[in-house]
Amino acid sequence: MNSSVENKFKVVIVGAGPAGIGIAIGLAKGGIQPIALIDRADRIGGLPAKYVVKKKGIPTFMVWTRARVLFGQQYVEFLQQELDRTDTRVHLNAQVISVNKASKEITLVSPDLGRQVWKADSIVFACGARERTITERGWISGKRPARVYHTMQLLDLLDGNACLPMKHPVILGSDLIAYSAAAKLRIAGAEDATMLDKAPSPKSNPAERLYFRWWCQPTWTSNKQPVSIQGSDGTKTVETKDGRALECDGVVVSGELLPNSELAAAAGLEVSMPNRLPILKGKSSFSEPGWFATGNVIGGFHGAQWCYFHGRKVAKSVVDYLTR
Amino acid sequence: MELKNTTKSGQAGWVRYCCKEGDCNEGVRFKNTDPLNEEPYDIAIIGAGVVGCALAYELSQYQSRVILIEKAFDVGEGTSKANSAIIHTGFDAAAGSLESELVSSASREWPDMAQKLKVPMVQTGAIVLAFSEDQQKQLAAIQQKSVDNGVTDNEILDATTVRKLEPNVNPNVRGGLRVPRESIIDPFAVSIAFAEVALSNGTDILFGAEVNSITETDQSVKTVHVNKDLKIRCNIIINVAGLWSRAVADQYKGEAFHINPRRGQFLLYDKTCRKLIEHILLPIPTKKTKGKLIAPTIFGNILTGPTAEDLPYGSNDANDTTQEGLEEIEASTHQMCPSLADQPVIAAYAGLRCNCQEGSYFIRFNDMHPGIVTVTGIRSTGLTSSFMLARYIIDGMKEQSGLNLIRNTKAKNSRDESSWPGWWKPPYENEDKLASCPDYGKMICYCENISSGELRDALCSPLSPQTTDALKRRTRAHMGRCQGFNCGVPIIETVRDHSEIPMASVTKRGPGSNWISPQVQKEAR
Ligand SMILES: Cc1cc2nc3c(=O)[nH]c(=O)nc-3n(C[C@H](O)[C@H](O)[C@H](O)COP(=O)(O)OP(=O)(O)OC[C@H]3O[C@@H](n4cnc5c(N)ncnc54)[C@H](O)[C@@H]3O)c2cc1C
Ligand SMILES: Cc1cc2nc3c(=O)[nH]c(=O)nc-3n(C[C@H](O)[C@H](O)[C@H](O)COP(=O)(O)OP(=O)(O)OC[C@H]3O[C@@H](n4cnc5c(N)ncnc54)[C@H](O)[C@@H]3O)c2cc1C
Repeated sequence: MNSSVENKFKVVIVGAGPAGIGIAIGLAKGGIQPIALIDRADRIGGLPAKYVVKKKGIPTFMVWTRARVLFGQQYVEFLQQELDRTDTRVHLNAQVISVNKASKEITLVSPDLGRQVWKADSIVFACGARERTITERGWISGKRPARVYHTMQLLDLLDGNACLPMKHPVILGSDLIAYSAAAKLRIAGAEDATMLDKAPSPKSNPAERLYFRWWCQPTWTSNKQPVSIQGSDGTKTVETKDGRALECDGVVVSGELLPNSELAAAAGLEVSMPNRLPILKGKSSFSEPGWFATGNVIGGFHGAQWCYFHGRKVAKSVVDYLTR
Repeated sequence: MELKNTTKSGQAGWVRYCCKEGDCNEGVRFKNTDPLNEEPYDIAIIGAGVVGCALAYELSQYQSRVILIEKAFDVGEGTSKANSAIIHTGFDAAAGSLESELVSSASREWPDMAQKLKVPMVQTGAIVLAFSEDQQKQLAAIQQKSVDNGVTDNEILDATTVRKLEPNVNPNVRGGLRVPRESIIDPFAVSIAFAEVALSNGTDILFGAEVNSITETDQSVKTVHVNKDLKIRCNIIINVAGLWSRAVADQYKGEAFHINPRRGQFLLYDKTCRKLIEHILLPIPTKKTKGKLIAPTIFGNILTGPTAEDLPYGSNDANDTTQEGLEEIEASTHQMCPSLADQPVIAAYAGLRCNCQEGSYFIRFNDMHPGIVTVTGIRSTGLTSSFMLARYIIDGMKEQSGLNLIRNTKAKNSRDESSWPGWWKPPYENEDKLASCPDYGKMICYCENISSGELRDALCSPLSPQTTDALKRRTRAHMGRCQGFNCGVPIIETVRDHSEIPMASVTKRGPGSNWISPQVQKEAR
């Protein structure tokens, strides 16, 4: 069933979030084809696609060029329009399960295509990032009750299912994403969250906090010591070493992104551990020629628009590499 | 004692869950019309840990009517889900003990048993590492102990050989003792497989069923009271309730024994570092502790631990991880294998050993009453010994309770080929399977590459999971490096849709552990 599928490309892009779309557009403008843009989700847009446009919702995707703040989905519409001006093939529901450094091949699995091995002259990782798990943070231990969530799960519940999972949240983490989680919960009907982080003051900057003050006013708790999550069935408290017990009926372990660099690492491309940061020249190319990374997979926190433009910029390096 | 042998040969048992309407799939919810109070059961097993499940499996090879009673919402929800997942040879057991005998005979049969049960198992071998001259001298004594335990296929290695076999151990290593048959296994699948086979042979299984009193203990037909409203009548009771065996034994005033939990915490490393080690790496045990090991897992991770913390009597739900505990593990295992220090840890967990002050493998037939069996103190080796222990118990009941058992020649002792878990034999590698069912190509768990087809298969398996944890233990979805960031909610939705229950009723491990807080429901009303 797979023989009819094209299996050789100039460029294969893993991930169709802002960065992957940015690079696809940049490559199309540079006259490179054929390209394959692959995503395991059922739609393009990556993380922003999870932020549904809602009447009583909160826009968080900053588009500084136009001095606007948008809902994620509005931003994805913009990306879709840009992409439609090119004739890039997008393959959705397709998970890239491995890449081969020596042969420059990727293996993907999808319900429509089955299992495919595709070859390319250049391969770009635009796989985005996920949040650090409890244990990865190094200061959270305790039990493993129900209702300890990451922000993505919160989005899937609040926006995807119109379902509020907790009334009295504790948020562990204090960056921009943590604040957006606090705001989303508040708007959906939860109480203002208690926000706790192992930091002297919140990690998000004052301008961001000012923006979120409009929607929510979480109680900030600074904490130098480790904490533990308690509750034998559902989450009950977050306990600190100095004897405080923050009562809650759910916890969101929020923010602190780690790059989705495991495909690259498994293939033997250079990735530094334990922080999973791809080792890149000029924030975009691996030492192995023809392998690139763009968007949040390069490490750190970057907004959607930044990732899109990063993709556009890295496209130039890929074009240079291919036409050299 | 003659059993009624009421099993209609070839007929499968039933599985039911005790809970409120709407809390689980209506088709498997226990209703009062379900047949509990007709003919008494021959045997009631209290506790569906790996020992209870193995007992059900072994008993199902005979003509007998058995019920397995478990308070949790799945098998193996107690100590059996949080251990080192090693099939021991028993090389370091106390020679001549019952434990040593059962572990060593089980370990020889495990390769065959794992094939029958379709449980992934790999013989990696273990190396006991010596890092000082003093430790090096102890290797000979450990080797002698191993030989005394009947484990003769071992060898003492010099430092060069150890470094060649395990290039990432601390270069200060002085030597080691290699025990080739130590193996790693999927610990969850063991309980599940035993229970599934028993079920297909006619064993009934009741979940969400907490035994809270036992009456008519001296009659030939005894009554087990469950959840304060159900009565199960039976001839023989086997108490294999692990940490809770004392509480259950109190219900029939069994012989005195004392249990305290001994906690073992673990750290789990990302698959990216699996290639760092080949063998299970063990330190030289001290008088106080066996020490902390570094072991590959069958799933492709590395695990380190466990701690050994004696907790007060009764702290049976203290399966917390603690900062101190995790740091203690890191300190000693990083010393053994320094490269681990740079590797990403993805999760931590803890299990509670059932530590019996009167000694391990504390077993009483006719415990103060004819037909009541107490099995406790299965502390550190129950996963390995499980089915041999079950056979030992059955033999004991034959001898000491005059139990007369007849083989059921129609009984199955294995699971079907299709029972191999998808993570072990990925459906996406099988072109025909993938072509025939596109769901095997739709990934839900991105870290472990688990498809919606595999989730569906698990949900349709004989011991159909009703909770997200039960689904996770069968498929590995949610067990990868992102710990549910991506697949958490899709898994909740999958259970909701399959069980036909509202989102608010989906639980992590049974009623009370709802994914949607009951406080949201209450205040919305
Ligand atoms: C919880 C959370 C909240 C955030 N909130 C904001 C916000 O409010 N405002 C903001 O500006 N930024 C926010 N960010 C930052 C966000 O990551 C960026 O805005 C932007 O989405 C990054 O773009 P990207 O293309 O690098 O990655 P992503 O948007 O994450 O896209 C990566 C894509 O790659 C796909 N993919 C990954 N691996 C594979 C594979 N193996 N095979 C196939 N497909 C694959 C994924 O499905 C995904 O669609 C948030 C991030 C997180 C994690
Ligand atoms: C840290 C650690 C590491 C280990 N490593 C290994 C190893 O590598 N290899 C190995 O072979 N073994 C190992 N073990 C030991 C092994 O895990 C145990 O011996 C085994 O799981 C014990 O099984 P069980 O069935 O006796 O107990 P459990 O699994 O605890 O089962 C008892 C069951 O009874 C149920 N129950 C209790 N009370 C009631 C009631 N009133 N009514 C109904 N049901 C009830 C409970 O819910 C539970 O499911 C380890 C243990 C620990 C803690």
